[in-house]
Amino acid sequence: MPLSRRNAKIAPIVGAALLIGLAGCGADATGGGGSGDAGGKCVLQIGTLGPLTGPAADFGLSMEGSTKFVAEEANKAGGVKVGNKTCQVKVVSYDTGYTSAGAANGANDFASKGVKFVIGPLGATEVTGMKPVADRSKMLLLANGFGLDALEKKYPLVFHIGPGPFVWSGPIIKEARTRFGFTSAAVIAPNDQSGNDIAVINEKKFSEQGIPVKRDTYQRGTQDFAPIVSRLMATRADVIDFASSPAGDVGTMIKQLRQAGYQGSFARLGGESTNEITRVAGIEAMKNFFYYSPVDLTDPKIAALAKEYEAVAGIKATGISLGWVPGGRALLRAISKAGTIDDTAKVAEALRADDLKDTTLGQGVWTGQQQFGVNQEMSWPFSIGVIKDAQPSVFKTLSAE
Amino acid sequence: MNGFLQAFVNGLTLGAQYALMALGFSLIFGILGVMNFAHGAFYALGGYVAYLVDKTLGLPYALAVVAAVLMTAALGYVFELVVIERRIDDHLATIVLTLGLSLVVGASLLAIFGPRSVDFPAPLTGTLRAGGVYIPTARLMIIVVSAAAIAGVYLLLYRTRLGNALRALADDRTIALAQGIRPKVLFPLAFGLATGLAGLTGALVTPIFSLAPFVGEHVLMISFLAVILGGLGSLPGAVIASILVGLVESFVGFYIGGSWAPLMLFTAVLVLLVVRPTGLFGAKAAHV
Amino acid sequence: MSRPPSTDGVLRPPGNRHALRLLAAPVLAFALVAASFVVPKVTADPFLLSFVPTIVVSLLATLHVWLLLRVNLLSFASPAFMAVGGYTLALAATHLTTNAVALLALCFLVPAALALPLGALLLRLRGTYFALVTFVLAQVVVLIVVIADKPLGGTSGISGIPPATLGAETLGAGGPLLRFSAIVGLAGVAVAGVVTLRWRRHFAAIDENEPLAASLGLRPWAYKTASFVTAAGVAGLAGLVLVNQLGNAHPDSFSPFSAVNHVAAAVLGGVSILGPVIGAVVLSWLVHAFASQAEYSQLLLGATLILVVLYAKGGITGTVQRGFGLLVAGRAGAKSAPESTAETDARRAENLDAARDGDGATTLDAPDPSAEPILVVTELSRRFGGVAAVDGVSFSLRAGEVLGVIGPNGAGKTTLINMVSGHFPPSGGRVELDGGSLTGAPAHTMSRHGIARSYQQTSVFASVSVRENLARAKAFSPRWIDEAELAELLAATGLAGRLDDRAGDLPYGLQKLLGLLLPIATRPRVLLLDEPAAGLERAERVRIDELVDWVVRRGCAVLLVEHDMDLVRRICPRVIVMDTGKPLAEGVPADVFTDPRVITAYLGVADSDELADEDNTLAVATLEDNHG
Repeated sequence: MPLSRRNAKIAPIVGAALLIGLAGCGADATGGGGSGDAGGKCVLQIGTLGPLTGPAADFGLSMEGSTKFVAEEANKAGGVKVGNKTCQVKVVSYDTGYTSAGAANGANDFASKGVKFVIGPLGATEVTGMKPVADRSKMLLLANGFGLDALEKKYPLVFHIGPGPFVWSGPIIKEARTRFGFTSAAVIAPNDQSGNDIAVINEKKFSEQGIPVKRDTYQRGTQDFAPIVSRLMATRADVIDFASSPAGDVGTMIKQLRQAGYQGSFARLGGESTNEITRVAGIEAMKNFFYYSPVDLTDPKIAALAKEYEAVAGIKATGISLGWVPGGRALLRAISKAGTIDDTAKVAEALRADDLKDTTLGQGVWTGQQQFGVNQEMSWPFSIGVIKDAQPSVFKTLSAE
Repeated sequence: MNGFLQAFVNGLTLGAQYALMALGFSLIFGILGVMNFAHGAFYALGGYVAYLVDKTLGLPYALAVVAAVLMTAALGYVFELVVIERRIDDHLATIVLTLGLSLVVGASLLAIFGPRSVDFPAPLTGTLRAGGVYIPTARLMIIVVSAAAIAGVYLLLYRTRLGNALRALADDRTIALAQGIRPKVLFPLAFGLATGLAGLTGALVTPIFSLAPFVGEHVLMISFLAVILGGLGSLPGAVIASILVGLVESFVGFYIGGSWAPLMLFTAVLVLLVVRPTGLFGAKAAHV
Repeated sequence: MSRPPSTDGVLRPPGNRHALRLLAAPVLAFALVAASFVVPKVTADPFLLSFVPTIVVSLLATLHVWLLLRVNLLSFASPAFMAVGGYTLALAATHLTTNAVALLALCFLVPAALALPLGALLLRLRGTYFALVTFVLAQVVVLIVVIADKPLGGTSGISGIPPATLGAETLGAGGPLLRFSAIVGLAGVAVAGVVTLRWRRHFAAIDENEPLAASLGLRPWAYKTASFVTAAGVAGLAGLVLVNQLGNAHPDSFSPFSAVNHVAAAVLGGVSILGPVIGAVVLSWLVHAFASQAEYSQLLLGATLILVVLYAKGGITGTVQRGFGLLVAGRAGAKSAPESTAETDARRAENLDAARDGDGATTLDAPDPSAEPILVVTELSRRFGGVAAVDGVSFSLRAGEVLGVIGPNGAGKTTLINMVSGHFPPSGGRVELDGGSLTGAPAHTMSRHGIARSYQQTSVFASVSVRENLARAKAFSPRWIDEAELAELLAATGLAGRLDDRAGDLPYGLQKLLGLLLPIATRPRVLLLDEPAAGLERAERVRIDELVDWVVRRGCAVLLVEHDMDLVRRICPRVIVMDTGKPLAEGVPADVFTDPRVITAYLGVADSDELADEDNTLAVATLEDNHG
């Protein structure tokens, strides 16, 4: 009976298909999670993510430190008042490995833990990777990526925790010009998104001020910069900007440029990492160096904050890590004002309405309209750090134009 | 003209340091038939051992370099003896084994020293200048050491009985075995010698640039390029190709721009591997 | 009429464990698909919903490595083909269509189509070279993406890619994303499963002993290409799932070094088709569990890789299978215990009897001298570097003729066979079969035209049963003999009773005879025998007479390279003597063996008495010592 035997074989397959069909008919379960409201106690989870290992770990660890500091500050003050409850703030970290996919996975990890508010991620690549995934779980991001399209109208829950080069490059170049009097510039950065997107803006800002500028790229992972150094020397620029190149690379390039006989000055118009650059290059080689610093480290108010920060975060406070503190505080303020730890749209609304008055950094403004078309970038007064004749940094506070 | 000369000098200094790495890499492949994916890890390890001895123990830099060579050579020797030896005839297995070692070494360095580059400045800081062309003294030292190491390896291979035995193994293992040459004794020695060279390079080069747990990856890639171009297993080929790679990187980097050099090199190597797997200078293709 | 034992039985493995295993895969697949449909109904845990696509990406990339490992190739090209698939999705979904089925087909076909010409170039390389070239390929692809600003978005990649859709449903998040990813994953596993199952004998033979497989008629390049193209398509699907999940295609996502993870997962998982699934799950878990301390997951991974390669070559699935096998074997008692010596002795005696019975058949009929030769070899030469291993050797063979080739070690006899059998091309000269040129043709072409060979060292598929050896050879050769003849051969070699023994466990003599039987069973027109008697006991050597007689009766020409002068004298009417690559003498054995030049070549001194001695023991012993 060949027919019935075949039927016997087909039967379970048909059965299984029917089962799947039936299962597919019902609606998917929805919701669930939310910020853990475990056992009557209110816990507000703040996610933080970035490269915690690898060559860019400095940035990631600083971001994690700033989040921890803001959380600890709030907890010491008794917690964050949300509606009629007072929530303890808990920090959840994730290592992205400085990749787009890593940041997307981090978003998923946060989603599974019910984390709704995130300080991070870092870098253009990570922000690009995280936005769509975070959007699906209605996650609010205070990102720090200087990508050309970091903020977009279609992602209303993505904010910038600090201003990008579009805001500060121009004023810093203007100020530095009065001190170093350069007449031509070169910009060098790795040939990937994190490098390119900032270098392009810096290039534009130099030329906007009538300074002829050449932009060049190198392969990330390069060890010996001799060929690039020769190329930079050939441009005869008297200021070389490293944009957002990794700090180790910047240090090596400075060493090699001085060996090649370069006499001009250096600029670091990117993520602040003067300490590490100094460690690799030595201050003698840096000699004339100016950089974007979110804060004035010599300001007594900031120095006091730095001390507290180091006690809580367990790592050295840098300009960049302190610069993220007011943004974190603003987020907690907005959550409290919105009275919810679940509805991120409501919190975003409250955040946009925040006046950005910070106890340490003073009055901030909302920027971003000009560059991205959305005003979701928190800009506190920033500083230019200047190393002149190998003397320790002096700062001058500038503000957005 | 100055630019051209400078690019030439830069290319030579690059090539000299690549040659040191590629020499060891090629030695291992030629004699053992093993593609050592951990070669970059030994480079980083050499740098960190030198850093520990020089900065933490405060001993002279020369001693630190010696310590780095001994440590990396010893680790290579033991790893070959205990691990590689057991799968020596399986090319794919040895690739996976050395990959595993490179992960272990990289992760250990990361766990011990952290991800940031450490403060390990070169002991020689001067720069020699002549007619608009410059060369940092530290780089000059690398060229000298590299030349000495190449000469040393040459003498060892072509002027000693040990070298004869090693070359016999590289030429034809079956015949070498028949002549009573014992690979079980010689393979670990060859492996240790080669990883020692990688350690030496690391100890010499990392202070000039920077030292972090992942510095080996780039160096490994360059070794691949040089060794494929030169013909796998061919020592003179590896040296000549290293200098060639250095020159190409330097000239392309200078005249066209930084990120084009790797694309051109990799594409050239891809084409060469397909068209002429024995490389530019290699004659034998025992492992094709 | 007594029917010969059916070879249908010979080629069919005992029991239906195979069928059970075949059934297990679809059942498991259905269970997984069902789960992917049911789970989202029960829970909306975002982590579960998004972790599954992540595992699927890892699974498909691992499957790429796994597929190529099946033909003994190590590939680091998974990121390269993932990038091709991912960017195909990005461009197609943005500009063409978001239809899930169309995207699935495109993301498989585009990388697969790209792999076809690439494979033609790259698959000529083996072992280390192939591994290296794939590593370089992955680098080149990323560098190209970075430079291709226009269509691929350069360093910023392509973002804002609309998710795949099916009808009204959007497969970009939550349950639909999970289902879509799971189905793509299963599609990949299914394709890989079908390919490896359909050609399991071909893949296994290439993996285990490629030269033997080729000399039985298998075309290695065809199956390697099949594996490479499928692997490229499967990796393309990994790119599809990844980019569809992230909503952007970015050069960062296809870092060449991520291939290390895929290789690790494939090695950890092991040879079973479930291997990549288990490997990918373990690896994804490891990466996730140590997300904030990547150094520990790396450390663990590196150490595990080393341990697996050293102690558990079959990976996790292989170890489980072996453990299970041991358990079953333990229950079955001493069934698989080695045979007692008494039994072996009995068998040996029986073999001897059989040999004596067949003794009468060893007198060979002289071939018809007026017949046209089948094989004509003219001035064949081969140089290695500057040394001529074979230098201007010519001969021709008629149907049913047996030509002996003798000569001291290093005379170039094996090189001669290697050239005629297509194992490597000659540097000069011609090989013609039936007047048509086959000069420089590869081994499988030679075999398919009827030029078969045996190997000096035993060359069988040692890891599988004798039955499976035969089944493989049958699958590879278009010239396979019929069942009755196969049964005769099995009886003549004494292998009939050992069909279920692992070939590698057979005594040396039987392995060697199996190595002779396989080429003979491809019904060759010309049979090249490379020292068939070497290593055989005296009693077993008689079987060679029988086998040669058997093929000669069927009109096959035989070229016999041999050191056993007795054997040569018995079965070769004509002999060629080679020394240092050149033909030294040719003629009937009796004349040639007394030729002083030949004796000098062998012994260094002219001692004709010994070589011409009727008993010949000393000469044979000397020659064999020489050989060993």
